[in-house]
Amino acid sequence: MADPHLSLNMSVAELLERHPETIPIFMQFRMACVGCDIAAFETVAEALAIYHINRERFAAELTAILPSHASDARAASAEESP
Amino acid sequence: MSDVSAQALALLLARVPLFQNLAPDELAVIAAAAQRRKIRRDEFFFQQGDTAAALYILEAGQVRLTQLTPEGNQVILRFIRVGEMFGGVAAFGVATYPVSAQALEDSAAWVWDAATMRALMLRFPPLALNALEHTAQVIMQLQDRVRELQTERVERRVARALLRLARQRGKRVDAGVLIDMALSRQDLAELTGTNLYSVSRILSAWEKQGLVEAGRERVVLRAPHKLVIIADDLALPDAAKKNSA
Repeated sequence: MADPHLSLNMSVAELLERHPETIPIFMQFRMACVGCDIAAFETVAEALAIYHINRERFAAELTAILPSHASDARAASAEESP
Repeated sequence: MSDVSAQALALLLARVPLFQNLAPDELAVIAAAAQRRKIRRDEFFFQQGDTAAALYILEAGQVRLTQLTPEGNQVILRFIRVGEMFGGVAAFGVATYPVSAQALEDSAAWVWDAATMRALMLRFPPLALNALEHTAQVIMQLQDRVRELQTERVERRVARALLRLARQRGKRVDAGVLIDMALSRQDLAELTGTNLYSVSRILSAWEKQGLVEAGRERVVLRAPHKLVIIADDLALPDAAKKNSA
């Protein structure tokens, strides 16, 4: 399964681009990220901190929705920027 | 109304701003011209949008004034205690009540209908002058509020311009998001259809609040989410709200 914690370290824009199926999760948590001008400059983890949303709760929702592709996790590992 | 009631009312009137600068015998005439109205708890003396037919002073009980906002929320404006006036717009020539007046317990009020108030004003000029003074105060408050709204509008335009630029030329740096291009206050003024004075004032205020770092031709968004809230006028839960200036 794609590691939801890796997803938390992606930029918001990247997560939404690669996994548009996560859009309902952002909406559910009342985050204004979808279409936001600075989605490319903040990681999901940073956005969660700003909105005071519990990381584990969000990660749990991601786990339920993200596809369970091992290659996906490997690709995310390879691309992850510091 | 009985003489005793009229006397009691005249004493109360002396404390109501609308009825200042009137002699005791004049207050007595005004008091005698009042009707009395009783309603039960949860009932309304009048509702928002009703024709402003009468002016009220609470004799007994408790009343709250509420208003339905454009967003459809019911807000409580204030509570009326015994001796306080409400529905005063009827005396100031306004056509409809801007608020609803609901009894929180069984209540009673002294009431003057609009025609009676008009006749009393013609007879007792200080009454009309008091109404004018109250209207002037309301106008000044409204002017302040309009100025605030215009300022907010300009701030939104500047925030929107900065975010648009960040989307195109933003670069993540330690301090936040750098707008990676030469960007002067004059540029921003032209982009937002305002002037240098407004832009400088706004950027200085935002700098103090930690929202931006504005060098001579270099802007860093330190708290980009707060600018998003300003630019899009977002009503977010308290946790994510902007600081108020």
